[in-house]
Amino acid sequence: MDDDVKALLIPGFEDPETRQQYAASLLYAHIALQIKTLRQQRGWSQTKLAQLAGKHQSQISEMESIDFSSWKISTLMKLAEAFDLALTVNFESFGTFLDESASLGRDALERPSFADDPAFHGAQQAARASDPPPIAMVSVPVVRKMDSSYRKVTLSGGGGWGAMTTRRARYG
Amino acid sequence: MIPYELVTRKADGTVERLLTDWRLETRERVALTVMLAVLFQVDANQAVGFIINKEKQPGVYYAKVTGNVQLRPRLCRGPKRPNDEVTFLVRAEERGGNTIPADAADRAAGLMKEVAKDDSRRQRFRPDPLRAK
Repeated sequence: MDDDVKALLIPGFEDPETRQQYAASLLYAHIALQIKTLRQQRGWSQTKLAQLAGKHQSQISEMESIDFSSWKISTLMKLAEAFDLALTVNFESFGTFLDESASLGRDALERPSFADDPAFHGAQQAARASDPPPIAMVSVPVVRKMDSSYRKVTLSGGGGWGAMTTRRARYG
Repeated sequence: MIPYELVTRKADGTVERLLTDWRLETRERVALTVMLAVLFQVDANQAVGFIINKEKQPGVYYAKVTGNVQLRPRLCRGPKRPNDEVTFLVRAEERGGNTIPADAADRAAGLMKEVAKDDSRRQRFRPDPLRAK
């Protein structure tokens, strides 16, 4: 399939004007398809993605179309935040671009959100699988409030009113 | 998905392929090529709503190809393996909100039935360079 795609695209890259048209059309298609694929990977509706990205459902529907071309970096940043991913923008050689344009299958476009990113959580997950859960001391932010009328001190933290300043916690 | 295209055998013995022999200006040719390049790589769940959109007629879809002229070829999923292949059936354009030809979807519905009965009416789309005008 990869060879089919390259055979289809390569002849059009010879002419400078035409290859820029290809680059633009393939870029737009790539962005739109990855947004749709990432949304489907997470099992989200267009409405849910719209809520998370501060957009309307109709805007998400438009963006998930091969002919959408009005992309803004600011919009892509909002979508990246909604997916809990980083957005990258690169200038590429046409050879690299061609390789990427022939790699638009679902597996090539799906990305884990930060919580499932093995670069950050792989070691912890491996430790959880082999060792008993570690015990750690966790500091909880504390706010001391003095109520002048009743001269009563209250503490607020992760456990709500009256929580201790530190507590023993288990991961896992 | 694997794209197929309708073939028409003419009286003089020549064969016309729906997509490959579609004479287009460069911009439309680029857009059509990109659409096909992406179609080759997506599954049915990705394709619907992204590249192909449902028509009223069951099984019939239109593809979005945006250029100076808005190409809207009609196609069907399958017809034999609807999750793995599509067959392009009718060349069509959209101008001023109108489809040309106006009965493109109806024609596609009829051709879909013909192709389902006779698989020789179509060919797998081969990535030969599409021809410009």
